[in-house]
This record gives sequence, structure tokens and C-alpha cells, in this order.
Amino acid sequence: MQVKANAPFVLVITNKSAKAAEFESKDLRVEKVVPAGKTVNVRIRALKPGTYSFLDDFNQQATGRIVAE
Amino acid sequence: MGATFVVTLREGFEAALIMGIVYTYLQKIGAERHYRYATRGGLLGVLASVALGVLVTALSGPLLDLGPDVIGLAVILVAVTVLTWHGYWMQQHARAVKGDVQRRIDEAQASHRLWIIGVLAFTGVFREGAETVLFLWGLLTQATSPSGWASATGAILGLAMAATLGWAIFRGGRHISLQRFFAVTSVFLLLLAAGMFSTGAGRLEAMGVLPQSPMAWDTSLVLDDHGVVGGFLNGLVGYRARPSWLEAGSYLLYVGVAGALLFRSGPPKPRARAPRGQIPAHAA
Repeated sequence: MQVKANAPFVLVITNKSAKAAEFESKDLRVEKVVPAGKTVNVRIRALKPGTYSFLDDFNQQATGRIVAE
Repeated sequence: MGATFVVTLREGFEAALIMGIVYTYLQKIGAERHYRYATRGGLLGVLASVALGVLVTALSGPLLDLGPDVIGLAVILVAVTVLTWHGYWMQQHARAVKGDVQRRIDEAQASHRLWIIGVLAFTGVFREGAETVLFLWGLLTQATSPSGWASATGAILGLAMAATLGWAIFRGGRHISLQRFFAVTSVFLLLLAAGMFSTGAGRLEAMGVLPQSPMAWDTSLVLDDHGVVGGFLNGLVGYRARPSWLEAGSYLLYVGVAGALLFRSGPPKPRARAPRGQIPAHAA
């Protein structure tokens, strides 16, 4: 996932599965439970250019990265 | 099964450690009849976790976006406060461990408000509790297929394992000396609180309340804090692979200030003070 560096943005996370998920990123300092079928908005501050990893703490194979450019 | 086992073990471990420590603590100061403080605190923590879990599932919109964060921050704040308070008190008491056992115990019970133990148990359970409830709930609704059953069983075994570890601390803790128990748990609780303090500062930084600071170091290739070992260290002593300067700084600040408070040498000397209400002779 690509975002613009040095600009704040809102991450809209929708959990389409039937299980609760936890969007967690130690790099972004976010830990957010997203119940099944729910949508959560997470405000993220302006990021310096770089790569920020995240995962679903309840299902750790589900990982991703946010690249700020 | 293995994956869900690790998740609940990690989530439950901190709570089990704290519960193990508070029961041992009560036992050590001869306050077995006050176990109810710990039990009630822990049970209230479970109830609050279920309530928050239900609430999070029912909420939507801005309440769901911000509510859990605010509650999370409040719990961190309360937990750091009671951990510091309790740690300070334990240290004072450990130093005074001289004289006969009964007097010591009476003093301990009289001078330390035992409801703090209850708050400690409550925050210990509640901190990761709502997450665990939601995680388990999701698994149980999926437990209709064999793999679903395996996942749910793994999760329950993980919690049972955490509880067993807490019990082991209680069993083992009974046989070590009071002073050693206080010394070891003081250091552990200090680092646990420092990790929470730093996490709280990081959350505030991410929310824009505190200024943003650059990354202090990056050890994610050596020990990732999302991994099993790194994750445990993260929960226990606040290990972070890529902390910001603010997080690293607040960790050190807490360890420095609370450490000085806890471990300064020698007992505090009572200060000589003029009795109140008396006018010094020379002013008359």
C-alpha cells in the first residue's frame, strides 16, 4: 500500500471475514481491534518516507506494508 | 492450533504473572484472608473485558474509532500509577524487614492499602482482556469445522497455559524469602511499568498529542517485536524493535525516576519538623 510521505491520512480498515481481527503496527504505534464485518478509521500522522509494516495480530500470516513516498 | 495457542498465551501471560505476583504478595505479608482483593480485582477485570468486547462489537463510527484507544490509554495510565505506588511501597517494606514476623505483617497490612492490590489485579487482567475476549469469541463462532475446533482448542489451551504459569509463580514464590521476592518483583514490575509508560507515550505520539520524533534504532532484523520471542519481551519489559526517540526516552525517564525512587540507598530518614501551630520563640 502506497501513501504520500509527510502528509497525514486516514486508514479505512474493513474486516470482511467472520472473525475479529487486530490491525497492529508497532511502527505506526497502532493497535486496533476490528470486529467481524466492521469498519474502523485510523488516523495516521504524516509519515517520513519509508516502509511501515503491519499485521493482523489474531492471524499473524496476514501481513502488509505501507510505503510512504 | 499452534498459532492461536501462542496468541492467547501471550495475551494472558501478563495477566497471569500479575495475578501470581499479587497472590504471592498477599501470602507473604500474611494477608491470606485478603485474597478476595486480588480475586475481585481479577474478576472485575474479566467482566470489564467482556463488557468492552461486547461494546466494541456493538459500536460503530467515531465511537469505535476512538473509544477503545481512550480506554486503552486510561488503563495504561492507571496501571503505571498503581505499579509505581505498589513497587515503591514494597521497596520501603523490604527494607524494614527486621524484627519479629507478626509485627512486620501487621505493619504491612496497616500501612499498605490492600485495595491497591485489587486495582493492580484489575488493570493486569483488563489491559489485554477485551482483545482476548474478541479473539476467543471469533474462534468459537468458527468452531463448527474440525480446523475451527482445533483453533479454538489451541486458544483455550493457551489461556490455560498462562494460568498455569501464574499458578507456578504462586507455588514457587511461597518458598523464596520475602526479601528476595520483593527484590525480584520490584525490578520486574518496574520494567513492566516502564514498557507501559513508553507505549502510552507512543500512542499519544501517534494520536498527535505529543510531537513526532524520529526512530531511535532499528533492531527488527535481529529481534522483531511482532515475533514470538520479541512479542513476549515486548509485553514483559517493553522491548521495541523500532521505537521513536520519544518512546525510548520516556522508557529511560521512567526507569531513571522510578528506579531512583525505588532503589535509592538507605531508608528515608524522618525529617525533624517543628510541631505545627507553634510560633518559633524568636518571632514572639
